[in-house]
Amino acid sequence: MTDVVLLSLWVALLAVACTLPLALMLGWWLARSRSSLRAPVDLFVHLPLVVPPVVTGFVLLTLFGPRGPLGGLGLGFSTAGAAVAAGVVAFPLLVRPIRQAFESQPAGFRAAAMSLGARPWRVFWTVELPLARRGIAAGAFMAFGRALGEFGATITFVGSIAGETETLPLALHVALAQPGGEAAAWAFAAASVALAIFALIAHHALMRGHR
Amino acid sequence: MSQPADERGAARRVLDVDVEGTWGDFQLQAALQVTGGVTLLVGPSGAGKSTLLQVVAGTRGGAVGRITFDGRPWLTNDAMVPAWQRRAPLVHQVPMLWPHQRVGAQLRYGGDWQLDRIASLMQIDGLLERWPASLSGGEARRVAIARALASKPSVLLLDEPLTGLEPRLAAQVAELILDAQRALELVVLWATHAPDRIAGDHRVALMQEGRVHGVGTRQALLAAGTTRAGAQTLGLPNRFHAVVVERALDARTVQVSVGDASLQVASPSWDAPVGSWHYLLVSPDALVLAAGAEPTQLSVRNRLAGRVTSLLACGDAWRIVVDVGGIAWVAEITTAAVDDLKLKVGADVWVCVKARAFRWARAPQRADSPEPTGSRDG
Repeated sequence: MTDVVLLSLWVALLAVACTLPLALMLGWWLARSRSSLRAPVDLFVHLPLVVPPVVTGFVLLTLFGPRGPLGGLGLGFSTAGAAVAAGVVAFPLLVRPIRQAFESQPAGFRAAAMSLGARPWRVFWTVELPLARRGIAAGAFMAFGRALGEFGATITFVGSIAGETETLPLALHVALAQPGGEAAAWAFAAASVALAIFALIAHHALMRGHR
Repeated sequence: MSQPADERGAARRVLDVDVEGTWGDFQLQAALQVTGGVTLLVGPSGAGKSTLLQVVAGTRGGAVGRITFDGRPWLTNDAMVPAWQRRAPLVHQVPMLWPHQRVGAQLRYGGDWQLDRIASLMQIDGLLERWPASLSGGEARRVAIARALASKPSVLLLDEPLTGLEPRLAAQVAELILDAQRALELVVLWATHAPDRIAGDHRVALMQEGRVHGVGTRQALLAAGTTRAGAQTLGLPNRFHAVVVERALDARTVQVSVGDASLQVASPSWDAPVGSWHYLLVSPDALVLAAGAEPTQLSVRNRLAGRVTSLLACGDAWRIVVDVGGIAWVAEITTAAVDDLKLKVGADVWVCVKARAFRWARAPQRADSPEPTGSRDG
């Protein structure tokens, strides 16, 4: 039980931590860019939110699976692979609040910094990023919560291997398939709900403080 | 007209602008030269002052043409020098202080040039440990201006920095800016719709509908026959064609006619014979309005009967247009006064004005009037 919870937390943490830099870049770009590529990129980023997770898992398996073109990365049926599946599915929830945080900053903040002699990179680190920190944290908690609950893409991509890829939802699924597994299933369910509530409360507290 | 004295120190720093651009249905086509000292960019809202300032600052793209400062190109047809290399900070009515940095840290963001002096000039020495959210409106303005100054700006751009401040505070901040300009020998381009609130005879660039119509001192522009619309743009809506009717024996006052109205006015510094035509200017806030019966118990020499034709909100005050025998007089009074007098369109009022409240400008066709550098408008 403890192993499963710790593994779930570890996978979700990895998923968010690894996708955060890319989410920051994309969120900033979606907030600031006036490129015609913005709309299609935005659509693509949101895809995992509406596509069935099984499809996402299938795509990942095709790309990163043992016989896929990127199979050499060794992600298939590993903890890292579970983190990738969770990260991809949770990615839209991470990008959205980050993008909103950048969008809500008055353009004058950036213009003022640049007119004082700061290059864009310095403006980003010293003005835009610190001002977006609440939105970034809110996105991180939301994505963390989603990553904890990830099932379809994970089971399709990396299967359910105890101690490797068997996170809470997968363990619950396995327990239900076993005779007399109800007690364990209830425990896994309770743990999932508790963690989800924690992530949601953190997300909402940060979003409220954001205004 | 002599150049302002403060121009010598910055004589070589010239900002040369000749740009055009289209944003939506707004078209900018502006050419002007800014040298040391203060240049006021004057025009009604929508004239393109803010757009021009952003183009100069480098924070608005989409303009073509040429901008050079001190001989270095800022904008050419194939290159746009980014804002961080121009160092022409733009301060507007929203101070744009970053909420996550204390005042002291923000002041140093662009550099610490003359920081102690700037902090004391702007009277913000005591605010360095404060967070922006705890500042009053006036304090935040002064910090924003100080932050721009400490970056050692090549040109300081101001876009209505006083709007929204209580009038006395606005006057104080204006004075601080002018002090800083003199002390630090800055090049300042200052957009305003109320130049009559900024002391001194600065160079003025008139802007209307995206074009710069003339550059000269305010007096020169007025004397050069700027049209009535131009005079309004200069913040002097009360500009009347007046003929001298009679001169007092002591020569201190003259009797003039403005339309049907007869006025007693302090004599001009030049000889104004009976029958000669001149311009009379009077600031809107020098006019006093009275409702009810004719106010005879007043020290004011001139009382004119008129009727309110419109009321316009103007910052924290109201501009009341009064028709006096077919000529529009504009008075600026407080909201409280508007309420007290129960002013509304069609109300009968008395316009009261002191003989010394008027300023004279020579008629345009006189040979000795100075030439403005731009074309006349209208």
